[in-house]
Amino acid sequence: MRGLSAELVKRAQHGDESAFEELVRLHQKKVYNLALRIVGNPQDAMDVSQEAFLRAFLGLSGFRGESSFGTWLYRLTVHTCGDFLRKEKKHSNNVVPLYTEDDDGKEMTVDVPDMRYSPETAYEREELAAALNEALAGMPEEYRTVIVMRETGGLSYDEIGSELNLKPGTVKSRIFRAREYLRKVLTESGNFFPGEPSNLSVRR
Amino acid sequence: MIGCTEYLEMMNAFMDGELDEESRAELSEHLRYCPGCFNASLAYKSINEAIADGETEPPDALLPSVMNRISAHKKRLAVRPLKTIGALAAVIVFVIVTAIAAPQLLNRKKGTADSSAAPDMLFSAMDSGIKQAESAPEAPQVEMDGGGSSVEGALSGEQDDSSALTAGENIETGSEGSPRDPGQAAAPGSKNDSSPVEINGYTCSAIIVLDPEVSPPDVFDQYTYYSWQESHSLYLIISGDLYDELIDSLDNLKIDYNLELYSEITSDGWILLITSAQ
Repeated sequence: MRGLSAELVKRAQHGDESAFEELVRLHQKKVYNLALRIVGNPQDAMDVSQEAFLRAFLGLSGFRGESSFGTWLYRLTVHTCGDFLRKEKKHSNNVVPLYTEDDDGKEMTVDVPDMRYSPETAYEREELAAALNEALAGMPEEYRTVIVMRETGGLSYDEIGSELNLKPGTVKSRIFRAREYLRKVLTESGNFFPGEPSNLSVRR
Repeated sequence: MIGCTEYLEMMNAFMDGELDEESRAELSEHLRYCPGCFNASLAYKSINEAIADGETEPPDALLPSVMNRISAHKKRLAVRPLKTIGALAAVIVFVIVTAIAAPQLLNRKKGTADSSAAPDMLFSAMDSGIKQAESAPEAPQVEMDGGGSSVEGALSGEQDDSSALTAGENIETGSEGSPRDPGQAAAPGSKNDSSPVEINGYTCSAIIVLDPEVSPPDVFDQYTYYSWQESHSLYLIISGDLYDELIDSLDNLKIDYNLELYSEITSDGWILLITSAQ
């Protein structure tokens, strides 16, 4: 895929519009899903995806292959989402704490029976995916953006950090909190077995 | 001795391919006797899979819409009337830099200007009587060196000696920025006539280059986003009217800038490159 993209990029950089069209075809699912998960609704995701591809087309001459085309494109998409959110004034500066329960640092010892998460059926997987999308949508934007950039965009901590102007350590901790948030929400909704680590103290 | 929270953090790093070998072994050992963390690892794995499973197909209209927008964009820029741009030229001195030149500009080291190093660079400066006084006179001007303002300090450390920016002659400035060395003649391919500039087929009057590390202020919302790159963003100003608005907005916002060639416009590292065709 990467090799194919590289070849297409080269052709597109020389003005071959059909090569760019093929690049759009190859990457549209990722770009759209990134946008969808960041901006939160299909209509805006469609607009942002179009804008991101347009920017990619216009900025193609500046792509020098320092990262894969996909990485470059996904970063650009995230950037476009950021511009969109700023413009739409949807961007909230309120940081909602992910964890509201206070365990006072008390050590929690949980006897966990041998309840392993069983392999899901197709239906269960579908249900889990739906529950996850819902949980993602309800997650504070700061956390949703980093986890989506990581999971859907496949960006590294460094790449996410440079895109969002965050230190890699901050990216790392936000991803951790985002996953913990998802795990908590999905556990509460019955998607996971409630196995808590033995001395987990959740920090705010 | 570390607790489960730390192991969960390690597990996250592991899943993201960012955990070193030694920590991996330690984590693996912990998972063997800690059912809580083991369960958490299974949940994390399921979350990963569910995120992928939850991806939806993009609308069928996306691909044709993208291609239509590209065609429309090219067409719109190609047929733009240039009257407003012509009027603009009477009061503003501008340089013209191609999209290829712009990143080179940002990566350039001080004192390395060499026109031969960038043969494909289109560069022109026109002395049209810039009114530097228009630009927020009370705001401190950015220090600029004589060989062309150095911007590398505000950007990441990537520098390329071979990528030089050459300045055209006759740049007039009332700011602290020094005029360009007349010896640094326009690069091959530069044009000093009054015709509009085409960049990749787009006729443009101005380009703004901004450091992407910082979000652009709202004032940039109305400008065409031309190109996004690893080290910077380019905004293309198509109309002279928009240019005037930008200058007004920057003045109103008390954002410092310098029309000489490019400048930092705020203390938070913005780089502004203003170029224009006549």
